[in-house]
Amino acid sequence: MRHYQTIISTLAFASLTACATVGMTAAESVTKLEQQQRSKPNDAAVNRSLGIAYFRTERLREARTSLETSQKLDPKDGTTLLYLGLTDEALGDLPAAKAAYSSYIQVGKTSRVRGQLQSRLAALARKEIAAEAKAAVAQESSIGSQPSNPRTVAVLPLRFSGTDSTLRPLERGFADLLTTDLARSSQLTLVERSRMQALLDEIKLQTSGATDATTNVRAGKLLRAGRLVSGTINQVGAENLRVDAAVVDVPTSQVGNPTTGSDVLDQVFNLEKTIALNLFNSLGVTLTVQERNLIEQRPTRSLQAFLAYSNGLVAEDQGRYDDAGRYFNEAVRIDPGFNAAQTKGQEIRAVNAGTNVTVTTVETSLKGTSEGAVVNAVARGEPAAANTPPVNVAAAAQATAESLNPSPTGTAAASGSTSSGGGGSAPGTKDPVSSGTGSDNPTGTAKVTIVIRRP
Amino acid sequence: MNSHMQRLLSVALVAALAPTLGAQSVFDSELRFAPQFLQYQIHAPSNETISQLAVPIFVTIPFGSRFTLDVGTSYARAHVTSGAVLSEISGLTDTQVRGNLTLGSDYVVVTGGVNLPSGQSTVNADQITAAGRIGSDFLAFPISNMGTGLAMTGGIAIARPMGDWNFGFGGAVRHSAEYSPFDVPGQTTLRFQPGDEYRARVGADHPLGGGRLSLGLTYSKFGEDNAGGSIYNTGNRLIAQTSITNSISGTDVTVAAYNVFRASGLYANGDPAGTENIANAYLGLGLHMFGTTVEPSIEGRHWLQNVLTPGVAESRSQSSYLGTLGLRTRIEVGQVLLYPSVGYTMGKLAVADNSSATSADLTGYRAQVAIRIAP
Repeated sequence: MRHYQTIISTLAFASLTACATVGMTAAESVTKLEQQQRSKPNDAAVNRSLGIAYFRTERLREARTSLETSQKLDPKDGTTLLYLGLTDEALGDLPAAKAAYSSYIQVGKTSRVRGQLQSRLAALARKEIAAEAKAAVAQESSIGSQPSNPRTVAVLPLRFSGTDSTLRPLERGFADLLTTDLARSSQLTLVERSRMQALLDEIKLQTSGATDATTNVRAGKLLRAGRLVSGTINQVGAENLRVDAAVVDVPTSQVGNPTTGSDVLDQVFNLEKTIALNLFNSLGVTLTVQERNLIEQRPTRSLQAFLAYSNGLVAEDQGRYDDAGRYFNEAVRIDPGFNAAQTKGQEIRAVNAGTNVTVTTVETSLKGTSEGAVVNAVARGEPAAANTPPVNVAAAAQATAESLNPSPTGTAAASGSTSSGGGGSAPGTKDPVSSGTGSDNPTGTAKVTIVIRRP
Repeated sequence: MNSHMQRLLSVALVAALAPTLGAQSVFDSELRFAPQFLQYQIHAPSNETISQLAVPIFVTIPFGSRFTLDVGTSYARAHVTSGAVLSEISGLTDTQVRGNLTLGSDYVVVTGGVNLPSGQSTVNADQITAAGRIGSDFLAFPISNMGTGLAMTGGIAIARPMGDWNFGFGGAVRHSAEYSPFDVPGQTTLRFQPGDEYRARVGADHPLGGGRLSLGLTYSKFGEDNAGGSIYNTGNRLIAQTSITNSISGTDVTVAAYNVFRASGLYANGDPAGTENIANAYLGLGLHMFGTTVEPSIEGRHWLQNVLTPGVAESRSQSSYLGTLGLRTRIEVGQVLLYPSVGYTMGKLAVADNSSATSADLTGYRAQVAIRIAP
């Protein structure tokens, strides 16, 4: 009896202690999880929950430390990777955030979040380019003095002059075609259009909007491009275009001999091919037959589709992703075989969706999922939801092994569903003697007679 | 307190005081200790009371990250009264020692176990009823036998992910050594050789909302038992299990069910054993209140027996059922977790009374304090 009195006293004391956790604030849940982390420093779930709790109270550096510890202990835990990515992004460490998000896409269990992070990665790539451009301008004195590679070429948007403003987007479209064609040569490395544009935008921002030839050379130096392609598009009369383009040597700022071409508007693709082939000569590149054949291909034969595509590029550069998406869709509608427009459209839709991904939208997607249950438990200062044991392949293997080789005592000593996720009674294991004699059967009379007949 | 209890408490104390030194070492051992009492009263015409006090103790000891050893045993006292007739048995049960070795990328688990005969596998005439009744699959006592002799189990489990599902497959074999189940003065010692058991399992689990859905199917094929030359088999078993856990509006919901089907076979005396089926369903609601989890639950169980009478061509079916209302909670004191629970049971039990089938009212209650200590 004294034994039971001790248990009852312990229960009463424990009840009073446990009542202290009612109505927990975010700070209190952090404190509770910190205590658990101190007693279980190598528990992945506790470190994960503490990291999430820190993130939610904007203690970002501590969040990163806890989440990185959890990741080392359990590299395949999706919730850890997700919040590590969110924390890294909040800290401005975009490469680390991208790495964490990419890992979540591989192992994360919530398909909606996987989709959101795919989009977020596309948006982060843009953000990263802008951040790199800003950093490059900030470190211009050191980067600008580094040697550039003459094989690295950047194509600047061409300048349009003419009366028909609907043709102005050809500035971007024509440059895009030239970039694509020049990239066909294995002897050249082309700077991505978006990277070039981000740098021009940053320089423009630093110089209060003024851009000139010097600006272009500065951009080329910062990109460590050895040569730039710049030029103009002039509308001649109502139906004709003339294009002048030249190669600029970045280290010396020397402008090479310009190449010129003119044609009717409908033949803009032929005109671009002429200019591109001349530029190869200016760049000193001899094309193989295969490269030349590739260059001869037209992405589209529809001027209207190409104008829509060019409008899309302008909108993209201005960050108007909704508009850009519509223009690319319009281009594909006009020419369903316009692959570049199709690819751009998908990319822009991902970027646009990614810019709308926030912590709130991600946590909304987690609601009602096993990963969401882990996050919800953080608010209670618990390392995981009380009834949600980890669902993973290793656990499935262990559960199967447990069932194959059950321990009746282990089952009897289990605490039931408040901790284990199971519920109620477990099926009994066969007792060979009582089963064979029927003495386990309480439906007969109380007196058991065991008669074993010998064969 | 007898010597068995003293030994158990000593082991518990040593395990509880083990210091924390790092992950996945012997010092990360977990101790589970769950004193519990369960009693059923089967009213007229049976007028039988069956009770069990069980104190199972279970220790899990990790050795590195890939191997886990667990050891479990129990003190149990079973008591049956029927009018003036009394049957009682008590003592330490067998000790199960299991090892689980995880291979590769955690997808393969090799399991091996030994049932050490620390319990009382030989019973005298006064203990037979008590030792037998606790083996009832329908009443599901926490400790279903006092001892079954030396046995060894070996098996392998493999899990594979398929989309959002995890599937587990496995097989195991259990071989038991011969032992003497009865000690009746003046009678020749009866030797009993249990048949080998072959067990196959298919399981699956899938995240579902805030929780998970688990499904499992286990088939046990038994070899023939040999009781002093009487060869028999009481029937193979198929066990289906499922559980769903989820969180709805802040309440943890657990739904669990199992179904045990036993095929027809023979009793040791050669009488036919008809099929039987036990279906069990459980609903628990985990309410987060008072700073802890309070879980009211309801559980229902149905037992369908196909009764075969020797010499009678036609069989008859009889049903028994019970329902249990339970309440469980969780209390955390430092590194000790306590799970006190109580339950009250009501039902009907089909009984044979003077060759006529009738039923007896069934009532019962249980109380348990499960204690989990993990450094």
